[in-house]
Amino acid sequence: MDATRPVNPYIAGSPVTGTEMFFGREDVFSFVRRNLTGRHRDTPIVLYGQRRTGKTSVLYQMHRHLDPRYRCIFIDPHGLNLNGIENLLWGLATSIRRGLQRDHQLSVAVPDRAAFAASPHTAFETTFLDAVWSILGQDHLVLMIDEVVRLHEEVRAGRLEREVFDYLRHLMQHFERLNFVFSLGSGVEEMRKDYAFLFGVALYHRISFLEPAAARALITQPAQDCYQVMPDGVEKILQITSGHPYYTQLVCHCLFDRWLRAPKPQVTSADADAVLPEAIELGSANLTYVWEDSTPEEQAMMAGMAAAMPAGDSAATADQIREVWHKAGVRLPAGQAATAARNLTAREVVVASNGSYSFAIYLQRLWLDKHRRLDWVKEELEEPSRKWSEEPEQKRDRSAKAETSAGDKPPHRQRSRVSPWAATLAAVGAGILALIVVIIVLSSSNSHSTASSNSHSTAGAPKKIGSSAASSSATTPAPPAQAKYTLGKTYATTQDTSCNAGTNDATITVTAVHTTTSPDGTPPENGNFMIATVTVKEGYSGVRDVMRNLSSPTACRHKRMACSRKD
Amino acid sequence: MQDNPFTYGNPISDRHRFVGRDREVEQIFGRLRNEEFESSSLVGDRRIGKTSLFNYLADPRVRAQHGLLPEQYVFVYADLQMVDESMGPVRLWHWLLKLMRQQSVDRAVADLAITLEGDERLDTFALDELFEQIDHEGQHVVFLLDEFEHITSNGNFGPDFYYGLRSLVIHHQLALVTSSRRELIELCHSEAIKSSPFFNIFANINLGLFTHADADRLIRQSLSRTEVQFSDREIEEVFDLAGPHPYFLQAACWVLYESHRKDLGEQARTKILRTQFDQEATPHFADYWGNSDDYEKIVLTAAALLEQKTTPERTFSLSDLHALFAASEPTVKHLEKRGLLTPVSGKYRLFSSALSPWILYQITAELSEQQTFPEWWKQNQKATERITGKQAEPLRRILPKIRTNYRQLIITWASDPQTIGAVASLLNSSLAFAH
Repeated sequence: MDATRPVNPYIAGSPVTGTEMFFGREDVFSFVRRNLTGRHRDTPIVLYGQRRTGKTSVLYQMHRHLDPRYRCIFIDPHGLNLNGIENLLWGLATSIRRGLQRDHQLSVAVPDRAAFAASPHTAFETTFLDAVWSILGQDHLVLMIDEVVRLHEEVRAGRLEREVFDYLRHLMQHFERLNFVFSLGSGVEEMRKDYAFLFGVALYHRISFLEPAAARALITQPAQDCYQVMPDGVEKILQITSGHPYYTQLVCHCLFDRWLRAPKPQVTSADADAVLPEAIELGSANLTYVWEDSTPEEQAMMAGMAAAMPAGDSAATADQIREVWHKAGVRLPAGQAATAARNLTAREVVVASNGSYSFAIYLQRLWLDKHRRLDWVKEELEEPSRKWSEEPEQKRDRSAKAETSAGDKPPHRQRSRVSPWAATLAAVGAGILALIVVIIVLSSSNSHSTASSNSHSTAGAPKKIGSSAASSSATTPAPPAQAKYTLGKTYATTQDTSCNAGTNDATITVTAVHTTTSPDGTPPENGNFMIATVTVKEGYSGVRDVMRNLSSPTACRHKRMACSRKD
Repeated sequence: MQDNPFTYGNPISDRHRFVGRDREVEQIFGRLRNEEFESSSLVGDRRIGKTSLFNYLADPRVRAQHGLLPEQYVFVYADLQMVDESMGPVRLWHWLLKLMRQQSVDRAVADLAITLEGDERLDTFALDELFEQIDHEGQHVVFLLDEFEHITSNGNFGPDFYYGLRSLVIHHQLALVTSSRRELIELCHSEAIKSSPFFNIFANINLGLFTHADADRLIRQSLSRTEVQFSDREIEEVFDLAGPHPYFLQAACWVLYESHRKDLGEQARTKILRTQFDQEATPHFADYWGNSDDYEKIVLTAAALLEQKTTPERTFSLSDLHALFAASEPTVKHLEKRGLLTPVSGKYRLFSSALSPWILYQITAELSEQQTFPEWWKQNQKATERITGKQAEPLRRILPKIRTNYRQLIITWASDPQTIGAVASLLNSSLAFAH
């Protein structure tokens, strides 16, 4: 290779720290801008999303999109000593010092480690932060803590005091100019439950697939000095990756490599097709991880889906998936299939639509074809399949009801599976006519909410957040942007699992499920809960307000909010 | 006559003698040249040339040709075979920092590395500070970590090590190129590590057999500096024995070259080549076999049996294999990646003609084992229950001829009623000649 040859600009693995290879996410930045300055400015912001969706990259870009008075400091807990609060706070202080020096040319001293060992709170808060405020003047300090679940893991392992989260809350409440932005890839539900005082009141924004325009820009712009990606090539890549940032970068990386070997002025869909085997090889760790991170039921669903849709890009119903397993001599119970489908949808591995399922990332389906075909994994699933065959009919029938809503009401994804509670709740929820309460009060009080943004960003196509009890075709018109919700008004009352919105007029359905559960967490009986659903136009900015209001002082102990996307 | 230009045993360290792997070299350097200075994971079986490739990548002139100037890029090669059960993250870092100091041409990097070399409290944060300063010097560090499985399988290296290493790679001008026998995620000693995001910073680059063009180039380029010429028949013989496998090609060519030096006739040279190649290859075949799982052993055995049947072409199709073992397809792909099976015009063959007799020898029982079969049968009633009925009769007859260690494997293989007849028949016709 000649050193003067063009360098492949596409990044397949590392977070994007520069500007040239970062596209889209204006909705995220707008959300953060709005909430750092609006009436929720003392509330932590949580950017959450599946692995590889670009949360770290977004944090790296944040400072370019905020008012310069907001001094962003990136904190990676993976690089800190989390053994005890004294080490954590010393690490935080040192990271802040280094960030202020490197990125903002501001110098501040950190008390020595002995001071943190003797009195960590005093050293951090009184000595260090006071020094920080004195050099910042009226500016804010925005601490962006990546993968904050690491702190929770260390608490759980007994190496870090649980009070660390109380302390973070204390800092938020007592320092007006100290803001927190967290990123979370897993454990959202657990964090909300265990640290409700912090994560129960936080403002959440999902980071998901890129919007189509951003994905198209990523596909075409970095390579434009070398070749033109023809429209059929662009569409092909979008079809393969659905605008998932990592997989889009990966396929484009392979395409660029192919061009380096045989330069030509234009690349087409045929070129995109030709690089797929290489993309699967290079991205093997991530594609394998999706499989490894799945339960046997989820694995059965994936392998069954791939087998039930030989045409490639079609969708398969749960019945078709169970039928291919049945033909292979394995009974996949309806309830298990429904739960697995919901989990996979929540993880954005699968897209659910009208009771059918397709792969969100076509590359994943190709990987399955290559490495985990149904007849190959049958033996791997021998033990769980024995349990499936022993599952009583009654249980299956009960769970089968949930299948009708499969994929529509997934909870925040966490490493632990969706609880039986959630599955049963969905079943009960689908069984009764949902009481849907939404109250809309137009408001323009928050100037930052004027930005076109929604709290859930998915690839281009229609977006859906909701439950089976929700209706994307709700009779009530979508509220205008800038609206704010309060309790007290019925909005829509239909029961429909469809989500048929078009690309540019996507519908978002938000469902909050409130319930009074018994103390041991068993599901409520009929009538003890309420489902509230809102249908809004894409770009609507007040989704979080809905959730906040609905979670306010009712006797609700649980809330589920979920998103799925649909092509 | 000149020295033998072929070498085997030690990795190639002279860049002029390094042949092929253009694609892999481009991929690795391409990722290092991009904006995020990206890491790669090289996966290939033993003797496939991973260390030779590392040596090539680390050569300052090679790096410079690819735009990574030695004065800005420090390449640190570390052979992780020396990581044993007594070593943990701190000692590993001490050693890596020492290597970094020794292999850096930049004084500032060497001076920085030495500050932490003996620090017993060394943690990720201290390393973070170090690499921050190295960034500040405008330097980039690439760790070439050979045989990374010695880390992933070592219980002393817990999740914190991987989290910390990933953090350093993401935030600093530090990149890793690892080599391992299998994909890193397959080699982890715990689920906690397997599910860590460490592995997603890598692109997976598989190192398999040479292309035929590269294999041919290796022979011709090496001979071009000598007066010796191999005849076409000899080259054909070399390919038959070694396939396009870099190590075995070197070994076969070395033997053949030595025969030329002795002025032996072609027939004698070929005979010596076959005999000595077998001796040289046997321990390596044993290693590949020992590192194969049951399915791989079944497919390799089926392939060996099919090759016996199709000599001299010794090729077979996927459907031939499927008729003998229904779950063969994914394993074939795996063996192809490992370089043990090679595709030939839509069919497959074992990479070396010497492998098939070796495998059949492995699974064939000695006379003494045949004599003690009834005893074995009694002791393994549970296993043998899987082959019942009239259909299994031929297999039960052949089982005494299978080496004790492999009877269970053969039963596993043949327990599918769809294929039991074909398996028994093939075993029956082949094993008679194996010893």
